[in-house]
Amino acid sequence: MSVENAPVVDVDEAAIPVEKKMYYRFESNDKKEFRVSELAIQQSETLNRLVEAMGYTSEDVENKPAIAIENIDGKTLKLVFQWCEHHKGEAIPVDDGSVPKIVEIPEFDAKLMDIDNGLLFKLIWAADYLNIVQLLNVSCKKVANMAQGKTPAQLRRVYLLPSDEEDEAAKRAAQEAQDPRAREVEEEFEERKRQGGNSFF
Amino acid sequence: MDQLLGKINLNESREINQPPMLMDMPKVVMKLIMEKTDFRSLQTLRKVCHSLRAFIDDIHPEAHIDVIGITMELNAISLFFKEIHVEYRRHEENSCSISCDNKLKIFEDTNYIDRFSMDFELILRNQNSILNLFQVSLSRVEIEDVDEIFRKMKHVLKSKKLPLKTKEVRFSIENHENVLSILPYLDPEYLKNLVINDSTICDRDLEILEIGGIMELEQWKNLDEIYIPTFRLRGSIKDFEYCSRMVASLENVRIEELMELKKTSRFPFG
Repeated sequence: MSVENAPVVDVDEAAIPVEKKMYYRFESNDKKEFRVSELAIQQSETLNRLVEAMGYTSEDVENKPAIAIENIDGKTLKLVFQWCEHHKGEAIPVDDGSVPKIVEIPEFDAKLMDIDNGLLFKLIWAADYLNIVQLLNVSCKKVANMAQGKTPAQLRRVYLLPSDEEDEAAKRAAQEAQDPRAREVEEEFEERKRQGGNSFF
Repeated sequence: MDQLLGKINLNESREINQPPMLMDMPKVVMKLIMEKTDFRSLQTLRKVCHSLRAFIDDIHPEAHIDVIGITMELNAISLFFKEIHVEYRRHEENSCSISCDNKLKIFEDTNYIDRFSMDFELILRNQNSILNLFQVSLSRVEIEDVDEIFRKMKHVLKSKKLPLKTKEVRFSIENHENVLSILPYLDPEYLKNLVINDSTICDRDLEILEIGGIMELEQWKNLDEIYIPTFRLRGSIKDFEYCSRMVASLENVRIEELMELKKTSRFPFG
């Protein structure tokens, strides 16, 4: 097992007040280990609930195996925890569904997300799964911004999307597999095509 | 127990082995991305493939438009919204041209009014927030086209699931029927200001606007401010008692009614 025991973000021990901080240990699916502060974990609703339920003491954290996150790789998890450490202690936005939220991407987040699209989608996936609201907001905003000023062909490349022809092929494959829903799906597609495919925009 | 709690596992279908694509994202994430995507990009995304178009049409991402302006000219309609200006123009026999961002496309076998109407419907489909202004203006137009355009706009507004919300509506029109094609289909709860101008105005006397049908509308009764400066109106000043500010030319004003209104209305009489 390769272990990355160093905290994701350098911690200035002298700056820590009397209260002792606890660092939890997490392990990615490719066996990379991360130490993450209690406060940073609070940014993730999923992890926060988990560590609360576990009720680990400082000794438990050191002596028990690292908490395994089996479906996120080390590269993605590193970004996730870097983000959580940087934004620890910040209020978690609540979506009350009212006014539209204008999402600004802070400089730190912009640099963190200066990565290839595959990794960016993994980061979004992880943020969704770990329920890190603001990371999900900024990463989705980044993906949304990527669409600006592009043609449909460019968007297919940017987002790795199928063309209509590939879409049709997938649909035919579904029919061949005799999916009972296939016919319905096709009718739905045709209806959509008829209704909305001809817009000028 | 510790082992159980200490392991997080997603279901198999969500396991990250391959680099994920946009369409692999959970529905809630896709919705979040689409809600953050600007109007124009969203329309381009709808053209990428059937499944994405179906998805976008299903989730109805809010359009958040602030102002919509529609201007009718001779054989043409201009549509303004979100810093976008599209012009639909009659082009030869039974075809039309559409221009936007200095790009022009010709569409054969289609009428410019139908193309406008289709886009107008598309824009309003996901507009449920409150507009600050909805403006409909006429300039020199063949009369048959005006009726057809208003009929189409009325159909789009009428068939919208939730009525269009706007704080203000401005008309520059020829007659009351133009107003009655639009006004009844705006949400009366949000509409506060009404402006009506005569699109045909010249140096002659003010034309009469038949306002009887308009005054019966719930929308009229909820207005705060009414500006109809370039028409003459038939009716009583009492019909304006609901609003706090008005500019209009009434044919006849009876002094008794004026005095009565002074006692009861919200007008700031000196």
